[in-house]
Amino acid sequence: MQSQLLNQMHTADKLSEEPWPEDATLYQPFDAEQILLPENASCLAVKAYLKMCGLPFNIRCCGNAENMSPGGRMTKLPFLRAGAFIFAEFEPIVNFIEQKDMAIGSWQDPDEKADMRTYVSLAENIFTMAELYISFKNERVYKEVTAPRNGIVFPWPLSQIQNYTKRRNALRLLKVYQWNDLDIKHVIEKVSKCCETLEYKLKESPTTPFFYGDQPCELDAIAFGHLFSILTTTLPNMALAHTVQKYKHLVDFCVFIDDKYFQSKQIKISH
Amino acid sequence: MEMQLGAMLHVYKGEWGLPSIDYECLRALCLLRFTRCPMDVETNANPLRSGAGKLPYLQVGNEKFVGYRQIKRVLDLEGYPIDVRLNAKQKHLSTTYADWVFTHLHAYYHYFLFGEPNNYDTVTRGLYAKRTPFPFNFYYPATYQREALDVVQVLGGFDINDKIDKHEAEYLVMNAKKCVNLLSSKLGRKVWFFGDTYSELDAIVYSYLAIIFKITLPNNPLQNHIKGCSNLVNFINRITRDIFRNEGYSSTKLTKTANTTDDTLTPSERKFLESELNTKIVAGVGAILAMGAFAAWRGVYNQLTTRSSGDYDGIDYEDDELEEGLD
Repeated sequence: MQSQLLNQMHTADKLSEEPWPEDATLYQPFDAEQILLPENASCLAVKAYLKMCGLPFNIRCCGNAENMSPGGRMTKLPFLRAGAFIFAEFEPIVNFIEQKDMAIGSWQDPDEKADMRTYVSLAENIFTMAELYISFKNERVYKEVTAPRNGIVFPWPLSQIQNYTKRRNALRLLKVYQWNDLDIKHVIEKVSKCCETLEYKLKESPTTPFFYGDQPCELDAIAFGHLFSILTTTLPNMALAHTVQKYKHLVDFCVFIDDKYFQSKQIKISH
Repeated sequence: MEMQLGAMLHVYKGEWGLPSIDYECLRALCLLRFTRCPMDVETNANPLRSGAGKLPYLQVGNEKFVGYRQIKRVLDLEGYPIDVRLNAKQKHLSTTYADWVFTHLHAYYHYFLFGEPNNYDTVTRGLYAKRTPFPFNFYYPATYQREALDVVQVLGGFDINDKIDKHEAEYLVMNAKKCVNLLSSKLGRKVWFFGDTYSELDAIVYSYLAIIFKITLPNNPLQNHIKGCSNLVNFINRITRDIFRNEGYSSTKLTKTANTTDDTLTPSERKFLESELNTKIVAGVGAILAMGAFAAWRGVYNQLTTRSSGDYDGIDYEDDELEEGLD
């Protein structure tokens, strides 16, 4: 498991010649009963990206998806099995698809691409950390939502152990990103700053619905995945959703992407 | 500003001409000096006095602000915000790039300073231990290693307590090199990353790269890579020279190394001189110990001999008795 990060990078190079496998499968936890907010966001981001690229894929829900994942920097989910190879999390999956020249956003020039990558990194880090924070550091959310949902697929004593290790890992992640000593006020401040940055970027091209011009790119996928998950997930503490709702352009953007690529769900903004 | 009068920033002392050896301290110092905030800097700080067991911290009256984030907030409130001269787009780009640099360099920095066992044992532990008062110097550097353990586990995906051949540092190095390449092309021939004005990104890039570039580690693959990007080397040297020229201890350090004949020596010669000094000290301590031991041994021996020879020396004995009797 240890060398997975590098392996993923190298396999992406090797595979560049082959066509997109027919049986590409995305593994994730159970949507309705099990999945947690940060995982849901990253799964949605990857799904949005694959749909934007127009690549066919199956979704498979497994209770132990996280344990099957080869590992990653944050949630380790979702992971994509393409042929004999496995990639976990947003960035490795995007790198893999880019090697195949099937990716969106190949029209961008290198400078723009570098800027875009930094926006992706910011959105992914800030939103994932905020989601982890609210799921694991807010006592009420943890007791009422996170712990029961995370433990649901396991029998009683095991579910307690799972919850314990999961929480410990989440807190460690927050510590590494230097979020462990923040209080909720500062978390909200960080999220609103990030939303401001995204909205500013969105407003730079006011006539087009996407962040960059009239075509989607990685940033659209990751921003949609996180914002939509935050907006539509009901938690005992809705501080994050209320923060995002203040940015009307971003909410409109989420509705637009949802209509265009997912169609099925309707955005529900609860107050 | 009246609040500034008593304000004091506590950081680790520098090395290799840099104002501080620690990334967080250097970053806080950059905030201070870029914005020309008139504040005193204390370099002989005790990390355990900060309240959180870490440097840097800012002391204003009785209040302590520990860590970069809190210090930045104080400076923002006091009217020294770092990105005040940037336009809106640049402000946003500064935060996104800063975040991106963090994800690419943070794990590299922690692994090669604290995680790589040889680097840590020969260089980093000593650096931090020298700047921490006795007896905490034995314990304190290890706290950084524990922190690095988490950082590398999360961002690099391996455990630094494993055997060295299981360390997957190649991924970190690759990521870091990619980051340096992009920064180099982004900087181009500009003075700062956003043209004529400084930003938080400049502070962060300088803090990571200056330490990685100047530190003398046995194993540091990024150092040569940075050497290859001449504009980044200029960037580091320019900030060190211009911004931190008047930095109390760093300037004395700089002039000391620049003015004495020290800089004509090669690193190996300097090391030899240092090791010679160490040898002298060890030899001195050893000699004193030996003499002390000898003296003690002689003293005991003398006592023993006087007592045992007392039987033969009857006259002295009688004299003593006589004197006592006269009194």
